[in-house]
Amino acid sequence: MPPWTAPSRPPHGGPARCPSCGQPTRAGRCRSCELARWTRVVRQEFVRLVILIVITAASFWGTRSFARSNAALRRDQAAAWFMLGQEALRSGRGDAAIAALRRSAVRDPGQGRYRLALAEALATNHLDADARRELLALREAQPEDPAINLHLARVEARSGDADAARRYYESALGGLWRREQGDMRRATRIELVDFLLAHDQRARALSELLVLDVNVPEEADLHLRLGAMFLRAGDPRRALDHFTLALSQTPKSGAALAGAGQAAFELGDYRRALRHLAAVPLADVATIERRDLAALVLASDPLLPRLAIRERQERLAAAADRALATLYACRGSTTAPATALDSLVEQMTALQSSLEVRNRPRSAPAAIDDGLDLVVRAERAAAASCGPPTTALDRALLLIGRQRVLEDS
Amino acid sequence: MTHTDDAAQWLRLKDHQLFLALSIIVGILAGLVAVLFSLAIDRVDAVFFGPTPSAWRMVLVPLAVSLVTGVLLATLFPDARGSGVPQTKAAFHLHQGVIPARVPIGKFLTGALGIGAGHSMGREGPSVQLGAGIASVIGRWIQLPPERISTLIPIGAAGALAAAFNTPIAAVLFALEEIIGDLNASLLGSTVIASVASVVVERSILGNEPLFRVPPYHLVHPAELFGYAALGVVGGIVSLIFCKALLGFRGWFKQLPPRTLMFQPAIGGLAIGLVLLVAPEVKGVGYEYVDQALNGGLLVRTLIVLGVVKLVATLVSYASGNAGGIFAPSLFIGAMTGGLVGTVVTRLAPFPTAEPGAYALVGMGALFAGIIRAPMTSVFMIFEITQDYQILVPLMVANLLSFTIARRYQPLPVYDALLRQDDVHLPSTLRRSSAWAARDVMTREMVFVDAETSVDEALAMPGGAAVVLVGTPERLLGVLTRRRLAQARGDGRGAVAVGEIADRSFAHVHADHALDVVLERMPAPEAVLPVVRRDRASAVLGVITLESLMRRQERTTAATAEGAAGHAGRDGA
Repeated sequence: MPPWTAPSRPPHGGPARCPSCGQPTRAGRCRSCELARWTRVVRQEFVRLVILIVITAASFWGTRSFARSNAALRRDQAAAWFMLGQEALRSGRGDAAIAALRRSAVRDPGQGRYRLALAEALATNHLDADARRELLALREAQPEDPAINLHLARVEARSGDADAARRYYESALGGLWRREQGDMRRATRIELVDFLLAHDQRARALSELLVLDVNVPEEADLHLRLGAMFLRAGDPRRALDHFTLALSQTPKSGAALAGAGQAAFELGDYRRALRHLAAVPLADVATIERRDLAALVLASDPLLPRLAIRERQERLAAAADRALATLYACRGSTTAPATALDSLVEQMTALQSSLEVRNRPRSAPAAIDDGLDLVVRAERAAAASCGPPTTALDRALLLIGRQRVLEDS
Repeated sequence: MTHTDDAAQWLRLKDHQLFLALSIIVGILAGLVAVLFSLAIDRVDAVFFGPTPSAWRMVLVPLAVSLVTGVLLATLFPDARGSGVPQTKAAFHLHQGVIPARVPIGKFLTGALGIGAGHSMGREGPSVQLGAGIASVIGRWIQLPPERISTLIPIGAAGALAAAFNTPIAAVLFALEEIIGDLNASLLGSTVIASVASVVVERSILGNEPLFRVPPYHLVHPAELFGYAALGVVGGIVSLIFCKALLGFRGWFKQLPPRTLMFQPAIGGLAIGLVLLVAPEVKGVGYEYVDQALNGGLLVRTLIVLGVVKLVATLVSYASGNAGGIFAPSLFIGAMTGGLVGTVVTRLAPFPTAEPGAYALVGMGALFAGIIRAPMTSVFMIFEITQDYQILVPLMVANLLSFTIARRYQPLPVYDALLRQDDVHLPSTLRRSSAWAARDVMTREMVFVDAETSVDEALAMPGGAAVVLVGTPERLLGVLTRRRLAQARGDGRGAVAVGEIADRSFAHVHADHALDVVLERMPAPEAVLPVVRRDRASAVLGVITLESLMRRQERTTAATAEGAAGHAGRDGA
């Protein structure tokens, strides 16, 4: 900064002039020098800093715009990879699906569904550890997301951690689905029931089923599914209700007929069971067996209503013959002390002789009742000592005995 | 004082205020340019390759782009080759912080094109040079004094690295440890400010997404430290292989005739194109696959293939003179090495272990410490990535071992070694232990003989110096003692050119070397120690002989005696 100098006045008079630049001064100040000083000031770093700040701000906006355009491009790429991944997944190319979905997740990390799809692909490819890691990372950000919890539950279920799986299923049930709330929640609960039944937690499964049983939409498939689950959970009555509802919509459904037949069979309603089972088209082995057994029960039970006394006696006689033969066979094969079996053999022999045609009383319903009791006891004793019965008639007699207990209770 | 003067004084910033403001601005601009560079690489990749590139495209894109960048690098931007970190160090230590404006421009163009076109290189090294370049340009535009411009270099570098890697603390440490070479540097405050400003800007643009998604890892069992120690040893060995191969391969490229310089990047481009056909995963920076390794998502076979192919691809890309760094490749190879060692440890160890992903994470740090030789940066970088203290102990164990092994067998850090290949010798970061430097004891009286001069002619030259310097002051080829010359004549080789028998691997010092370094390197009492320039080590500034040392000592003694006499006179008066 040049030192301030007092203006000099020329000897001949006139305006004072600046000693630095020789220009005329006003009120002792040289405008020209002041302008020069200001010019120097504006050249100094302060102004340059201001310019730099402007450049910085402009660069910021420019970079941000470019970043946004790049992000849009990355999103497009991610979507393309996602589509490729889904396609690969559908066509069973697991590795390709994982690679593509991984790329989509990396390209657009903010898009949770890409990572969820990746986790799904990993799980489908049995890479449960990787799938779990992905899902846990997702869950960290969205702990209540039902889809994430559902996938985690599936992974844990597959890896055998039943407690963790149940916890995640319950979290999924508690979450808020983005769409089709009721359907998704119902499907999740059905999956949970399936899982509980597979892990032999029937009581818990039944309580979940009872929740499901409220406000069930009229869909044959759903009734069919619920019926099957009620059957597995040990509630044949509700199962029969659902199968009946399913049959009301699709009367010729083989699955509904078979399910209804099985439910009726387990309830001891063999007549109804036979009706449904006999109508099953293309029945499988189990259904055929069940149908035949139901028919045999109906053909062997001496206490069925509307039977003539003679018929009852003949049925009881056939049952007694079978039971005695079973007892003999059992006594011959077992090494255990056979006192109880011997006593039953004696009683059965007495019954058998009492049922011979020449000894039969004219009418004795109470005797038939007692006789059937003895036959059932003999079958049970043989089953307890020598294992499950081998002939159909033995099984039928046991079923008749069970039915009697149910009726009595 | 007039009002104008007052206003001018008010407008003037004090030195420290100006520097503070500049640190923030440089940090922001460096961060912006690093973000822009990263985005540009992404965009180039998207434009050239698209989502599913064909095999032809994989081969042709790197080749074609490298032909273009080769021309640019050979003609317009020769200083933009390679990583950028060595050049930044040279600018800081040797060129008073001067980086011409065309260097960052060239680096941006050639780097974005090269890496985006598939070259297996990193964006961090170029970002460092971009940030430093911007800092240098701004410093000169603001008309800072030269020493101030120089101090802006690490600030720009830290700002750029912080944004490129989203690790502000590691960026500061890198600037101090690698660029300045002194963790006690007085620039700590400014680098921190720049780094923070840069990261704030970067996160406001790109969001707060971490570079890698890393699950929480920790030391599962104390005995697991042996596993990490094994990783440190393997990491050290891999670091050594990488450094030696890189330097060897680059040295081979540098020996090719100068007219091939323009086409050398294209050789690398063709090689990379072929490599990409086998393993497209090594394309560009490759952090996607590092992320997978950190999450334990890669099979053993994949880890081996990617680790080896990435190493080869990086050697080819870098050695052929393309613009790009080795920071990211070292992390990539480290993650693969760590993942592999981790898988082995997990399968064989009789104690519980962490998942292979934890080893991949530590492997990244170990390779970084072994190759880049910045162990503190490495530790903090991994800490910032994981934000978890638990992994630090294993990390430090592995880093230390890798660093020690790499330093034992490759004493010169790779960035310094790369500079040496370019005839640039950086000053030591050790403090001077003596008041005298080489420049104080050297003499400029030198006798040079042409390399073609015969032994007989050299012996017949007047002067009778004990040592003959072969070459010119601008290009010293070797040194030769008179005894060696006489011996050659005695062996009947008087007609042989001195260039043939001259010692070409002679010891040398630089002008700023302390006297203890000079004495340590002095080969023999009758020998001569050339003092060469740091930025061009073949240029001779002077020589140090026993005689020049003695002369300096005599001058000092005389001066001391005069001083003592003066004092005595004044005392007497």
